[in-house]
Amino acid sequence: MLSACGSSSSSTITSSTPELDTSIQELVDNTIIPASANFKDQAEALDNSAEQFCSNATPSEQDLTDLQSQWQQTNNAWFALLPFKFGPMEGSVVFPTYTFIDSYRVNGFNYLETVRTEIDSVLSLSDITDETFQTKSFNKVGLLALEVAIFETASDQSTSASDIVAEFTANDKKCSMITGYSSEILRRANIIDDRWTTDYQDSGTSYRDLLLNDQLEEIDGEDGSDATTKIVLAVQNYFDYLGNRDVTDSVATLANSIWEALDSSVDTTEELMAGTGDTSLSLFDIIRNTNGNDQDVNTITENLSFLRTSIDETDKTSMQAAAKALDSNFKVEVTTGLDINAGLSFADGD
Amino acid sequence: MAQTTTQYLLSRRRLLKTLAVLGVSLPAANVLLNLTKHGASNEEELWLSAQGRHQDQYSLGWINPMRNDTQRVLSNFRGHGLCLNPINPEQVVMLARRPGLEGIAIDLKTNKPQQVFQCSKNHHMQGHACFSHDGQYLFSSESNYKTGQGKVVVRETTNFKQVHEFSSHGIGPHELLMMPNSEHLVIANGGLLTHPDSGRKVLNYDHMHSSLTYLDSKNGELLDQQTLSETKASIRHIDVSKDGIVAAALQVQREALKHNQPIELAALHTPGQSITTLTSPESLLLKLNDYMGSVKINSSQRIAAFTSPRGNLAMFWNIDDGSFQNYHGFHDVCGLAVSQDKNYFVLSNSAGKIRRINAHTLKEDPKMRLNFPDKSWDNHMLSVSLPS
Repeated sequence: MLSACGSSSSSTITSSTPELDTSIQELVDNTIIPASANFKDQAEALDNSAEQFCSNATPSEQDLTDLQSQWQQTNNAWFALLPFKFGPMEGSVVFPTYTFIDSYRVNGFNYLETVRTEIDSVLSLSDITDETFQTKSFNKVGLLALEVAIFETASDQSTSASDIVAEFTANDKKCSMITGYSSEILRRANIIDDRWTTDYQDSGTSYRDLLLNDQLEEIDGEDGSDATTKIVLAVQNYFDYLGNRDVTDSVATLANSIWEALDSSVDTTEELMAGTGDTSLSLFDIIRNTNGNDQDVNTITENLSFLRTSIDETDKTSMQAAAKALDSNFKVEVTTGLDINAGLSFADGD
Repeated sequence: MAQTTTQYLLSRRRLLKTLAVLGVSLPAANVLLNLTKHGASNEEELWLSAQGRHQDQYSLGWINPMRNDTQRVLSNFRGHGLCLNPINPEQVVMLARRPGLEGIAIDLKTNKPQQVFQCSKNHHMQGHACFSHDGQYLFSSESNYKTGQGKVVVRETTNFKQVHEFSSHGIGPHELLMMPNSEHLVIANGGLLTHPDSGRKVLNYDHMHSSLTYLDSKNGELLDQQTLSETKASIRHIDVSKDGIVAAALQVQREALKHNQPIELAALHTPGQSITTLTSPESLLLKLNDYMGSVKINSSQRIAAFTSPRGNLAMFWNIDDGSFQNYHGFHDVCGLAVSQDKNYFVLSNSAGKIRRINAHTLKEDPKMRLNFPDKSWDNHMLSVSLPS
């Protein structure tokens, strides 16, 4: 793991350059929007999988395994998108959309017991409809609620596939419940993707276009920061989250799939910095070539590699150390290398 | 014959001095003056702030919103808090950001420094100061880094030489203000121990103790001290309403906590009562990242505004019933002032942008935005009315 080094900070006010504009447009089109589209696709597949599972009067254990596998794929897709928690992922300051998908991301509080109690409450209802789930608070729905519903029994929290299938077979309400949860996840995935690609805040213009054309400040509730700042600070915030929250012991624990989910977020972060096969100018290119900070690029690359290794080895301590190093890299090397105005109190307030 | 603006302003200043000598408090004197005030429209409103991102840019900068232009006086240090001489509205003092060692007095009329002053040996400044009601003394928050004790240092404003020092009755005093009775000081003792040898590193997370402390400005006598139930919440910035309600902006030292639960970052204290924290929707509170950077009260509208640069939010509460009123998203917002006509909260950020929030509706008026991309407004802003 490498610590911060390289050039001293000489950051000025963010200067939008044609090179940086090109790079930002490419990473939005090649990485962020595809991540959003993939999460939507996976959420749709999950919703279909839940419907299919429930269409069978006597589902098999293999049917359950297929449904659980699709939950894992959807959660992986969510983690690929999670580093870009701004704009379409939020939509509202008071009721951010992402919180209804991932309650742990809000402040690192594990709502597992809240969800278990809620599931018992839902199963006791005489009538379960789609509306039952549309007004639930963020900590009672989302990926966690569906995970609990399909990876353990409500009666005694058994994780045995045969017990879970038996509970579904015996109680129709469990199917009404999981299709309710899955359709809400899909609804919100569609909202996020629609904001990115079609219409943001009823402006008639996609967030993509507003962001890249520097028109977001016209939208009510937007904070006026530029595209580069929004993206870089969102990724930095994600690594701060990984470094300081107990993600590996709190998220996807029943599904036993947090490490592969974390791997997905490293994929998109690497793409963000290094580009894809369709990239003509990556952020690394700009830091390296335009600003001459080869060492900083090497530092970030090696820390991403260290994070990948720690995930492969399911080493929580190393994973959090790597995340904290990357948090620091995005605070210092990336903001300096891209001339980002992160804010006067960003690193050291008063 | 009609009085000219200049004549009025000169006589206003003279009358304020006379009233101060006679023991009339500044608020009362202003009421008297406002009863006979003419030609106020000839005063220019300025918004002042420490400014700059680099050593060679650090300055006291100001905006003339009517002319949409800016000016600055280089300071050679990164400034923080500002205060206006109540008797001489052309004189403003800016203190170095902690742990700086100096302050600067500037004449807004000539755009020139009047004096640079240093803190005494073994002291460093904490970034804020306020004037006595008669303009004769400047009270600054400082720390003796040999003992760790917080200090209120008193200087004569004729030469800015130190004439007294009081204990702040706490560690790490930050913002301090004169109460409306013109006799008592209210001080935000942040509770954080630092030492110049270790820069801004906090050395006492385990034992930090923050307080809102009231002193007699004449002799430093401790009059009252309020503490929060959350000991890791540092009271850093304050404002006082005309009727003596103190609003406090807090910064939570999360490193010293073992939990992730959100902690309220705004508080009110009405003299004679206990300090209370202000509630807001949890999702907003979580966005603040444990950091509220500045606070200003609009006494006319009974609203306290708070800014959080780490949360990119300004938030508003009613100071009479403590009810949450509204919020506004603005990247890296920290500078905060009340316009001279009391109709707007003025917000600034480090990207040089200015937004105005209607103090009646608490909504932004986007048509009134200003942008100075070559400027970087620092944490605090001061609205002044300068004789034109």
